[in-house]
Amino acid sequence: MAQDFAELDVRPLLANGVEPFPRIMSAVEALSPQQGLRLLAPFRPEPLFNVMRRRGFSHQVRELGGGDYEVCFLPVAASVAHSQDAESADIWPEAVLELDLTDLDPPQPMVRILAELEEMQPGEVLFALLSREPVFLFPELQRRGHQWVGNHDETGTVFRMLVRRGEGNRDV
Amino acid sequence: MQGASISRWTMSYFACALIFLLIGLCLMAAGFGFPQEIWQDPATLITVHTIALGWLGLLFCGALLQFVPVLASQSLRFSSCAAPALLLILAGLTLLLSGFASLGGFIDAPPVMLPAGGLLLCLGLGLVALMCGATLVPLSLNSLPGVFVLTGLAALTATLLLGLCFTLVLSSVSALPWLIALTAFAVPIHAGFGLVGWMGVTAIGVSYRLFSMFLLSQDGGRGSRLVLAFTLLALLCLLASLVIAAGAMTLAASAFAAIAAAIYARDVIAIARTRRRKKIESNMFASLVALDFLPIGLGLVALDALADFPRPLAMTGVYLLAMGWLSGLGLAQLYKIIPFLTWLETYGPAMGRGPVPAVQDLVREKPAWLAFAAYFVAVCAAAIGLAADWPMLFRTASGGTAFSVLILIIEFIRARRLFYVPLALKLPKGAQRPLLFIATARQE
Repeated sequence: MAQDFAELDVRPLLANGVEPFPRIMSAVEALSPQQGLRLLAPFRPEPLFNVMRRRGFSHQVRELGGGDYEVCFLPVAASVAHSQDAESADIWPEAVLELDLTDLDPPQPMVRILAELEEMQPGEVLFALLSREPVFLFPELQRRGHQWVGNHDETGTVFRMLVRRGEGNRDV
Repeated sequence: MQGASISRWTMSYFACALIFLLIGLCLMAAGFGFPQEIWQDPATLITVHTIALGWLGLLFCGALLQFVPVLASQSLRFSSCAAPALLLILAGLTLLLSGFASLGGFIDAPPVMLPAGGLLLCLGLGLVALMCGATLVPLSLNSLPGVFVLTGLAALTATLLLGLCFTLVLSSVSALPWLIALTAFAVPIHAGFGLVGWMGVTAIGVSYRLFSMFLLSQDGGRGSRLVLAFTLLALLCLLASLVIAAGAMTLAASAFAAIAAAIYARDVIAIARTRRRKKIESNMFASLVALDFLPIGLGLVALDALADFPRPLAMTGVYLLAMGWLSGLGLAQLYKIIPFLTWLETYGPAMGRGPVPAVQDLVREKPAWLAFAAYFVAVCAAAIGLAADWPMLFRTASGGTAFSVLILIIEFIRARRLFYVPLALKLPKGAQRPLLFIATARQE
């Protein structure tokens, strides 16, 4: 599930007055097809987002503090669907619960996942395998303040997802 | 937003559609406008459009507003247009039917109601096409059912534009020679685009997804690309028949449609054979029965085109396509969709926080089985009445279809009202009681 990233820190380059753009582009050229790029920069590299979008990469931004930013660029083909507020799932803790729900008839997986989440602590993560993309579950997770990422496996027959328990009990 | 939410107005579309279905079936039972040899007969036009637009049109629109976000796994674009679209369609249909009634001398109304109704229908259905099209176009290449739906929407556009031209001539608003000539020969093309192009293609595309979903089948339908290709060829021939060699082009369109239907039938059988869910529920069984009317209906239309039969075979074929295939499929899917959406709407907020009923707790299979059986027997009897020119059999059988639809409507209302749900589970904490005609909006 974990996405493979190459890392490029342009902070030292900028500190030495070196224009980082050519270095970023050569790093992008060197990526393997499914690989993403994790970029560390001393500012939010807004102009780069459009350039990368045209090259087929989506991005997720995280503020590191001290004005520094981490940006994860993902090749769109390999990118996963995720809730609007979900930052990179790479930094989520290990799943405390693994559920194989592929044998359950829909919509039972939805009920099961929502029930398990109620029992978990905020910030804890569950991993689930489903026989279908649970399109009606996504808005319900969002409404309750949980975050999720998910995609189909290589065969396209199993949908796998990580759900991180939200803080509160929204929409009760 | 990722994922699909409940479409607020879908239930309203379904409710209006079912009312039009009952009205249409009662008109048939009363012998109003059907069976008639002449399509241009105003009474026939009223009955046909009550069923085709009032029932099937609204049913398909309501279903698309809910299903397109599921296909796209994205919220519907411009979803605030759903209610205005319904109002425009209802107003347009009322004007159109009144216009037909005035043509037949049943009421005294200005003929301009016809094109006015046609225009409102174009606007309303155009809005539905806009919502679905804008949601599907960005990802249509990845989703074959999405391409089917878009193809259907293109056929809908052709249907609407042709219909609008006819209203100009029928109401004597325009006397342009080419418009009059078009009205004289293009009525079957208008019907073909509407019934087969829009609804048929949409039903086929959507059923690929729904059938493998409901039957838990691994086989997604291998021939679906071929079906799409032949369907597109058929529609192109139908379009060409407007300008060149109408007879030959219509025949070619029928042939391509028949090939598409045959591949589709083979796919559905494969999906049913490789299913993991062994027990077939009533909605799936009724859907599979409804599908049998597709080859029969198409076959009768083709037979009529190939040879000069003394019996009105084409009309019987069209009746079977509309009432057996599309209506049967529609009713069968409503029997699944209404309880599911009601369940999701009612128990979504309570899910995981305590016991909630299962979707199946909202329905009783037995009355549904009986109603579906009665419906299909009545449709067959009515078709025999049409083909053999026995009006009383047709009218009695139409009464039978109306009665079985009434039973199904009562079951739909019971599902919405949570009638069958055990009292202890009916409204757990957090659940919200559903309204009959509209889904309650929830904060996203």
